[in-house]
Amino acid sequence: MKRYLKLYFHFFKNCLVRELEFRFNVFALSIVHILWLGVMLGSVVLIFGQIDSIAGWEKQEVLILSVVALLFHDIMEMFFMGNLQRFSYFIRHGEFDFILLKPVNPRFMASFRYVEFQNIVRIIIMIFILVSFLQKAGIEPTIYEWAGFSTLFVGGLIVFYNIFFAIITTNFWLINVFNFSDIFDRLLSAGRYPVNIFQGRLKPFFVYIIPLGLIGTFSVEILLGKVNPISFWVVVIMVAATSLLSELFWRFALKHYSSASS
Amino acid sequence: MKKYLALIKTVFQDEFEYPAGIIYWVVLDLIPLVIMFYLWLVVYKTNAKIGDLSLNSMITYYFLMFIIFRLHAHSAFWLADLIKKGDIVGILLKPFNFLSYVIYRTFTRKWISLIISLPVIILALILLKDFIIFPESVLYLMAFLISLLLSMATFILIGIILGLVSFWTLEIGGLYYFCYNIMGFLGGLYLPLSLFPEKLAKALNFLPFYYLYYFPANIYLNQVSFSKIAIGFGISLLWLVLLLFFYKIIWHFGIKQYESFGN
Repeated sequence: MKRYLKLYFHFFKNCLVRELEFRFNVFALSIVHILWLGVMLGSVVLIFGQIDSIAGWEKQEVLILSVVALLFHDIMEMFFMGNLQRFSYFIRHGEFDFILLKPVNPRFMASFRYVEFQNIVRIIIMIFILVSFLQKAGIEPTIYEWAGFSTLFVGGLIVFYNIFFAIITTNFWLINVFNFSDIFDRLLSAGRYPVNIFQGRLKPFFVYIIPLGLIGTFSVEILLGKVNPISFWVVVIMVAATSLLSELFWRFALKHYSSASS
Repeated sequence: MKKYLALIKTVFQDEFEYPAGIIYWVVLDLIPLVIMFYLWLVVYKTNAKIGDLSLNSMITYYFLMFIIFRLHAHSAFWLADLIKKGDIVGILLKPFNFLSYVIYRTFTRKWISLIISLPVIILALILLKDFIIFPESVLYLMAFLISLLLSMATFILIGIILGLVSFWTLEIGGLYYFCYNIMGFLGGLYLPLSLFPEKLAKALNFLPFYYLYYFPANIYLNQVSFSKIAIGFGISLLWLVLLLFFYKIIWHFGIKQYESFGN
């Protein structure tokens, strides 16, 4: 464990140094991402110019949810997305063999080798915006509520990492899941709205199969004082289930891997 | 003409070389439509009209966005990649006018994309049959189809112009995402422009983005008179001419100072 933490620290440092070689690019992208944050929040304000609530969620609550959902997206992108996107390239060009040859768990290398810093400024700004929105709404979460929020938030990250990792594992057979970033964006942008909008038979699908509630709804409900004990159990079960299934699928895929080159 | 038919055949082969990605995006592309459907279904429980649109109009609007989005090619990324890797030299050596090559390639890819999505589109139509409304007359339908073609052409040209910026910069992927998303936002892809403040919505009428999404949808939903459709076509064509002019200038200066790497 210590060895992997040390290795990850070196990966992190290496990626940060590389990113800072293109300082203007980082600066320009940060401005672009912050502007887009403004557009997204502006969309919510525009919708609420015509209505009072969405499935019982008021404007300030939906704004908080939007920020948390985007924070979720950016953190996923920072730590996982770059790695998973490169995986398709590695399989097609035979470079995955070099990962297998290293004395490190191949899943660790496939999942954590690269860290993307493009959104780091927006992540920091969004944390401040989140606190500001909570204050404006007159909400002061206790330390236990922040702990609950963090637990559900991190649980959601693990679940979606497992889901995306399972999707990208299909590259072993399908070779080129080239539009992975579209898949990623489509799924995660759906978490901007409260999962309560789903009714009837589709609700369980969007709670348990594609767990959109884990992107933002469940964790924000804790901050808003709407504690739902079922959410915790959903997260615990989904973390366990997706971790086990994605690992089993990965091992099955590795056994059937045939290299494209060497 | 033979060379363009050969190009179309090549594009077909390219698209189906690895069909897996197609399966993923055809299925997962339904998710935003499903989300919007349920969102507006809940919102309209307490509101009869929003931004002058009834529930059926709003659902139809997002169904149209689902289809129009399929027809828009994000060619900036592909062009930027060509320029960065030096592969543009291979195209310049071919017996094609560069702009014709890109347009033929892009149009072919997008029509393939629409054909592949047909089963999903039909499925969406069946599931939303109680909500989807249709144009009042054949004339409105024809005007809608013409506006779609204008929209495709405008989007391709904007994408080409963005992509050619790569003649001067190396790494610009994030900027493209932002540009495409802003075009979508100002064009009504994410929210109908009738939800925007009135003055802003009126000002957007004069930008090319308005004709990418909102204008075709408005025609389809019978929300525009024929005189306004004619004016809209005029402005859209004017923008096409201006964009073509920008393209010529950028191409002229870009290709002059271009140095190929790798070839």
